[in-house]
Amino acid sequence: MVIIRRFILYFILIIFALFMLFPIYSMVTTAFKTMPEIVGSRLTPPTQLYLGAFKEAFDSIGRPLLNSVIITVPSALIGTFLGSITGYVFSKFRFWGSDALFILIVLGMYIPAQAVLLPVVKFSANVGIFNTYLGLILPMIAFSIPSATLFFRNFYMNVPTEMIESARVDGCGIPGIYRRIILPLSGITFAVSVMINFTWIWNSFLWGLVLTQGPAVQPVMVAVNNLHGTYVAMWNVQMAGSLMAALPMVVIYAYFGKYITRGVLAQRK
Amino acid sequence: MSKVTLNGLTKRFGKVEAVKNVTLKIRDGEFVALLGPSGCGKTTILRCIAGLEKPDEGDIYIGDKMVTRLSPPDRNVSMVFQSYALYPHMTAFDNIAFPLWIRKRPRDEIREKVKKTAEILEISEFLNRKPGELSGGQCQRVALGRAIIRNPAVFLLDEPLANLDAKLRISARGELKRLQKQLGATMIFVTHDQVEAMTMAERIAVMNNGVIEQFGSTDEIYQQPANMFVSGFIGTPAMNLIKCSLVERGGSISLILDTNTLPVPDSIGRALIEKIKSSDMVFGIRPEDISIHEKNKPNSYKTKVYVVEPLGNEKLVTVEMGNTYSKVRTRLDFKQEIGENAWVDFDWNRAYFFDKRTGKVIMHGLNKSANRR
Ligand SMILES: Nc1ncnc2c1ncn2[C@@H]1O[C@H](COP(=O)(O)OP(=O)(O)OP(=O)(O)O)[C@@H](O)[C@H]1O
Ligand SMILES: [Mg+2]
Repeated sequence: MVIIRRFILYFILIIFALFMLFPIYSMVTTAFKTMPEIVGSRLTPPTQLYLGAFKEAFDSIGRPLLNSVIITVPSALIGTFLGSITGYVFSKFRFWGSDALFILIVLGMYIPAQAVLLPVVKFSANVGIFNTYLGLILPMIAFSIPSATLFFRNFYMNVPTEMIESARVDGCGIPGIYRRIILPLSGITFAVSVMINFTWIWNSFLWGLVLTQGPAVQPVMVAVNNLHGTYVAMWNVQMAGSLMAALPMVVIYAYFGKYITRGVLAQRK
Repeated sequence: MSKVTLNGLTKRFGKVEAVKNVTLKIRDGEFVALLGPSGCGKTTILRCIAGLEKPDEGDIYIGDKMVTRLSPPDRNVSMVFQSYALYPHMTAFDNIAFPLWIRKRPRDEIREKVKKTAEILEISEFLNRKPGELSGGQCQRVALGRAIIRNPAVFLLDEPLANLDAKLRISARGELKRLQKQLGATMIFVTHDQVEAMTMAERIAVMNNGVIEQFGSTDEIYQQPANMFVSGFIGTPAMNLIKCSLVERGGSISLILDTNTLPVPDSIGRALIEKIKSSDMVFGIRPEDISIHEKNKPNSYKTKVYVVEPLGNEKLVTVEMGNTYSKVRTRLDFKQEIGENAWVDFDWNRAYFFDKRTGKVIMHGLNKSANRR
């Protein structure tokens, strides 16, 4: 009985896994094929490793890849940093209006991007940062603050308040406590938050689309979308571009994911 | 070092009045215990002095300076928390050095002072370890070290010994007392352990329900309890408190316990009659001030043995007197067992009488005029 039940369970899981894995398979194989090969047979593996599609894709998305790095890294770091400060304040200090302010900030998470699209674009143009790195970095930071605040607040709730009070009595100010006690204690939480921010900012297509024009500042997700040829769909080039655009995320998760698991386990000890 | 004065301190948490109109004058260099049952407001008082809670009413003075509205860093106090609140990411050395580090003292001075502090507390070997690698007793000393490394006006300690095991607690008691003398520091510590309070403190503030029931030395609190709460809280076991009424019949004065009559020596009876408004009162007597006998004796009172607890060097006998139970401390060779009769008589010079309604002491046998009405 148990074995049969197991079998059915695994069968279902495998079906779902295949469902998820097939597009990846398709993407990888297509990227290494020539166009005639693709037209010939869609699903078979490539007969030789053709790298021309990568080269062609890189010619158009090389610069956007760099743009994405320039935009994502500081946004993810600064957003996390600001979120940890607000999270610290909201978890450990009560002041006039603190509850209301916290709710307002967290509500920011539920505002759909479409709702503020036009105002942000307009504002960006008005202050003269449209189609600049700053024009993307600032909104990305702003949009990452609500979730980071909530995330850090929940983590800091578990830091004993007496530790902070003890530092207060010992003569430490509120910024000093953040720098000397709170920040050193948040290593792993910090890394996780940076990763979460990095992921969504890197993958954010909509904001890149509306806040930039042309390849000079354009992030890679928008550039990849523009890879489809004007007259013919260059499947291999598109897939190669997508692969390259996704690669940084894969590398980061492969590398830091292990580190985070280890960190969480160490913290549980 | 400074004196500490609380003036009409009141602190509310929503509807709960945690501290009610407390006035307390602590002398310069004094070692004071705040003693009381759980939830009576001891920690709240300490936190008000440290500036971690804002009082709703009243003022706090450290030395001659009013600090009621100052924030904690500006009050120059040191506090040891019950949880010790050590910083887990810093070594013992850095934990102890923290207050000096904040004050941007020179490195050499910090190293020198930490070394000296560690020597006083005998933790020099552990300075490189982090709190996670230290035992409870070692953590406690690191927390003390962090408090004494600078020279605050007053030390506040919240149940500093509560997390130690029984044996360590007894030695830590002595060490802390010596340390206080050595530093000549004003120290206020919170405890709900009366033995801790009585052995360490010069004066004890006995608290109940947000008020200070009595503030005095161990002797005063033990010998001259101000009211029923204090007498019922202090002593192991505490004083027996027996509801009774006073009657005068045919020239002799007695206490009526339920249906039984207990004759009272004339001198005490007369003095009592002069002081009371109502004949209902509570009679208090400590377990060591009752003698118990296997046989009837003149002027003794017949009781039944309810339970006998041998303590190694003595026995604790609970006897049934009418509807009340009283504890008696007696010799190890006391023979009677549960259910058998025993006769008790009282050291009337050590008896206490309390007003049943207010709980205040009316009189006690030793000092027939002493009362706090
Ligand atoms: N932050 C708070 N919010 C609400 N009520 C509180 C708060 N702190 C304390 N109280 C209440 O105030 C009263 C006194 O608390 P306090 O911590 O001073 O007691 P305590 O004498 O230190 O007790 P214990 O021996 O258990 O530590 C309690 O009834 C407690 O529930
Ligand atoms: Mg307490």
